[in-house]
Amino acid sequence: MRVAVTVNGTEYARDVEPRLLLIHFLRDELGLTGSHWGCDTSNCGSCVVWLDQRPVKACTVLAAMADGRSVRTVEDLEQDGRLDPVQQGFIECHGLQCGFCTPGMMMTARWLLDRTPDPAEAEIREVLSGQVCRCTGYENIVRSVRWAAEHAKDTV
Amino acid sequence: MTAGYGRMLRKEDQRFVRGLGTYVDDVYLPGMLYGAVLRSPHPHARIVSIDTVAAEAHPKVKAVITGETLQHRNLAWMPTLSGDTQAVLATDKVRFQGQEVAFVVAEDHYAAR
Repeated sequence: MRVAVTVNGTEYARDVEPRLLLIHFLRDELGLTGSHWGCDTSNCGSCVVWLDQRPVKACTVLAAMADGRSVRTVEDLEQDGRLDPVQQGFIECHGLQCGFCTPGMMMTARWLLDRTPDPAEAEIREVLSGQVCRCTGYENIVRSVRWAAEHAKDTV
Repeated sequence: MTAGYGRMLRKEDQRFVRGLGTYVDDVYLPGMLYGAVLRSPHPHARIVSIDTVAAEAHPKVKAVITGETLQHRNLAWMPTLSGDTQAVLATDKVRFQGQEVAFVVAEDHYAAR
């Protein structure tokens, strides 16, 4: 079947199997491997992208469900050569080790900060509760998001 | 809070935060195949038989490997770092939930599963 999805501002049309998951559409069809296929059971959140401005787990969304809609992935966080404060925050506060969960964490964090520019630690923990990091624990991830909140003026 | 941060930032983070890491799953090679592991739903159970006929008949499936397949080649058990042996794929019985029982190789993710 034919699907047309706007990804990071560019429209892509592809013939795909109806069962193709959005995460595989992004990774295998478009080559956007920044979003990761982790658990395949919607537990880990490594695959989180935005679908029409809301974070979704791309392993629980069919590519067909994204037809005519817009998707934003980690590859779109950096704008005009400037890192998003969330990206910079993860670097500054050592919010990653292996980095596998990081794209999903950052997409959710960006969504939170767009709505709640100065979130409390508890809010950050709640919004990231659907995502798993097996390296760092969550302390530095929370700090990274707080760093981004405190440096919001750097947002492009 | 701030004293411990900032002086030694990791170089590799630059690519990871941009989604530019190269994990094994990010590698695409011409003609490459995909593997999937069938795992035991039972914590302790005897394997009476494994029916691989339907899987082998799938047009995109290249191989269906079971413990029995490996046993014929003396590959069912592998040494571990702690000096004992570990089942590669279960043969006579499974000993924990999630133990590897069969391995399927196919032309794409979905066919393998």
